Amino acid sequence: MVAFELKTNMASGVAIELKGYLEKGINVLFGPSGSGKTFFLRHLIGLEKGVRLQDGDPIVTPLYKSRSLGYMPQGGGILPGLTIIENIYLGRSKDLKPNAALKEQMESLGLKFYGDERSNKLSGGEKLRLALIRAMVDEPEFLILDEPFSGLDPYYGQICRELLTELSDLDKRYVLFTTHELDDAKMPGANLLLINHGEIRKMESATEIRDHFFNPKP
Amino acid sequence: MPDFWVPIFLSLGLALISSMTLVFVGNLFAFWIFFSKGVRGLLIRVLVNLPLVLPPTVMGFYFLVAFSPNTWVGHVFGELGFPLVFSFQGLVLASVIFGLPFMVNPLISSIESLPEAFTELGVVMNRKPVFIYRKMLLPHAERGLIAGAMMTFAHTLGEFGLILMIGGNIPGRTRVAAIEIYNKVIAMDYAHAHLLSGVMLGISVLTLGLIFFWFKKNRSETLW
Repeated sequence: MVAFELKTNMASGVAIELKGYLEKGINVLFGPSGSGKTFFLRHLIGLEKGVRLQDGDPIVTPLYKSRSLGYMPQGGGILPGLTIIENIYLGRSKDLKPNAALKEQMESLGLKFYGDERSNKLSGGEKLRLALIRAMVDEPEFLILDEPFSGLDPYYGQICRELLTELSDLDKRYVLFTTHELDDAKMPGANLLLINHGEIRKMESATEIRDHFFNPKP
Repeated sequence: MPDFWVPIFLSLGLALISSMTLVFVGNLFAFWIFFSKGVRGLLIRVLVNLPLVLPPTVMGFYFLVAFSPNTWVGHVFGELGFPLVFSFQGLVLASVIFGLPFMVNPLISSIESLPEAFTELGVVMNRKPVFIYRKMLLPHAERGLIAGAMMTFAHTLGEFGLILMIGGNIPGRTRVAAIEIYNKVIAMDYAHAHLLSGVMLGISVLTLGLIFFWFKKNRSETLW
């Protein structure tokens, strides 16, 4: 379990204090638009300063320097001037061909190895799936995804959710993704977190999250 | 080669070598600016853009002061057989310095207009700044790079004041087309001046035409 604490001011000047913890496996962060989901992720990863992390002992921040981390920004962050495989590897390997495991993963997500073609030829959904593969390719300890399923059709959305569940089942890693789809609360074993009005609360079910949205408690 | 064409080919050679050198040097400065924070980045920008506001004769004077054979730099290069004043290589060096803003400004604008996620991804993946710049940003800044190279080429073609100060008027070595036109006008050889000017006008129109044609052709290929 990793405990986090963030005390800072948002761009609007409002002071916030976000406290909670991530469990090994799937963690889902819900929140309406503008609630601070991306803001929180950026601090957690270490792109912004201020977060404190502990897993028994303090974790050195920024997190991306001290632990292995896979990250998918909102929208995917695919570099359109690079080929598919260049996007996936981004300097990890000089051999620019997919290995067997990667090829299988790409095929399961409907992505072909287009050789030297640039990624700007991909559709929006293909770019998102590619971004997910890129984040997962090193099987990192922390997998942080900002709205990874937003823009995916139901079929590939389901495939991606299953892939994430498979990855987190190995019980060695923390998967955290943000969403505003209530259905994502039904992922088995997920640690549900809700961010709203400058705080993060642990939720027990999709029903509780829905109730909170329609009847928010002060 | 007939004497008429020598200044023209000197001008073209100077423009080509300077702009090719600036593609490399300009990227060094763009990288430095992009990854410099606060006051340091600001100071580098000021330095790079000084040639835009300084009179060419002032730049020429300071160039002479800095690289004359009386200085250690000028002396060393002179001993190696590459004097930096009143020489073609001196013109190249001066043109590179003078052309910096024309290369760096379009390039850095192109890079700074890219989504922040491109850089942040590289940071989070612990890639070094050189990798982020070369492999993640530069492939998406080709418009800025091409624009910079073409503007530098076009600008160098027409240089006069700086070249006269540091290069003098040496036939076959530093007497570029702009200086030769000036010589012909002073000598009231207007026919010759017309011919030279006409050729340079034609080259300038062709250069500009190629620039705008390239931009028009590549306008539809927006990468993001």
